[in-house]
Amino acid sequence: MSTGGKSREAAPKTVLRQRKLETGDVLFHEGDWAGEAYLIRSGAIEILKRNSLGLLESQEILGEGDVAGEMALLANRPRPSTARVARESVVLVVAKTDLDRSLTNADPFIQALFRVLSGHFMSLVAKKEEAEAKAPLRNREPDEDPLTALLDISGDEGSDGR
Amino acid sequence: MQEPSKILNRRTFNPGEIIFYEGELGNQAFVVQKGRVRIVKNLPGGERGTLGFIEEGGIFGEMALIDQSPRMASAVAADYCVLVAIPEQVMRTKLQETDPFLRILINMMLRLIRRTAGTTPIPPEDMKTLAETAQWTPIDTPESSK
Repeated sequence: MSTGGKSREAAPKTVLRQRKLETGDVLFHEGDWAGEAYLIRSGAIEILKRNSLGLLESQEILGEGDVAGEMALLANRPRPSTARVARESVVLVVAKTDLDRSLTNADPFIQALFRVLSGHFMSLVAKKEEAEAKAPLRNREPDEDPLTALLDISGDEGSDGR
Repeated sequence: MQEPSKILNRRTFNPGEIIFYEGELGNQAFVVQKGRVRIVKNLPGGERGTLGFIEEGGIFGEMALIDQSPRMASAVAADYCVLVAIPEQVMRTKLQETDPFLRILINMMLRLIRRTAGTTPIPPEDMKTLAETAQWTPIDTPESSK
């Protein structure tokens, strides 16, 4: 196992910014293009999504140790949801530029590990979204949990509609 | 730059072959390069239940490397499988040498995957590890060393 080569002090450490948020603040809006995710140090952040009627539907409440807005780091696409501060919170700002720089400086093994993990995550997200996209066609109730819809669909996977 | 394939170790399994057993101490994680892996859990009463399948590109067995817990389920090759084995020491050394920021994001990815898959609850130890790592992060440090 050869780990030689690069000297250890060459690996620069990334310094994160911290942001304090008040109850009711909107951290980000669905549809925004952005390059930041947030690690929640304290507080509570509610994730909301616009439903087919145009109403904001609560998806989940994130708390300490959770991450919000991760899609901005992993895919070139707009925010899939809105994040609203449910209780005074402190978040660490994770910028895509920081991630990219850190990955560039990282060992190839770590680069590969991260790529595999983010690839796995994105394929799970794609599967989930595919199921959610079909949900409205099955006259989903406005307040139905999207996860329930997801389960319904995987439930009758066997009968191929046509 | 060193190719990851020189550090990693490729292994093949025939359908039905056991990759690891539940309860064992794990010293390797695996990335599925080809084939599918069935994750099987022993149930009370001696029965076995399938927890799920790991598809190509999926990773499994990494928990044991991160928190040194015994394998929570067995892994069985469902097809002819090509796996990339990641030895514990490689994982540990590499992670230690990694920018702590990136280390946190790797933990974050593991968590996101589990949450999105929705099959495995996040073990409290893992949550604890993550919370500890997160608090480690320097806050409000002036950006002097750029």
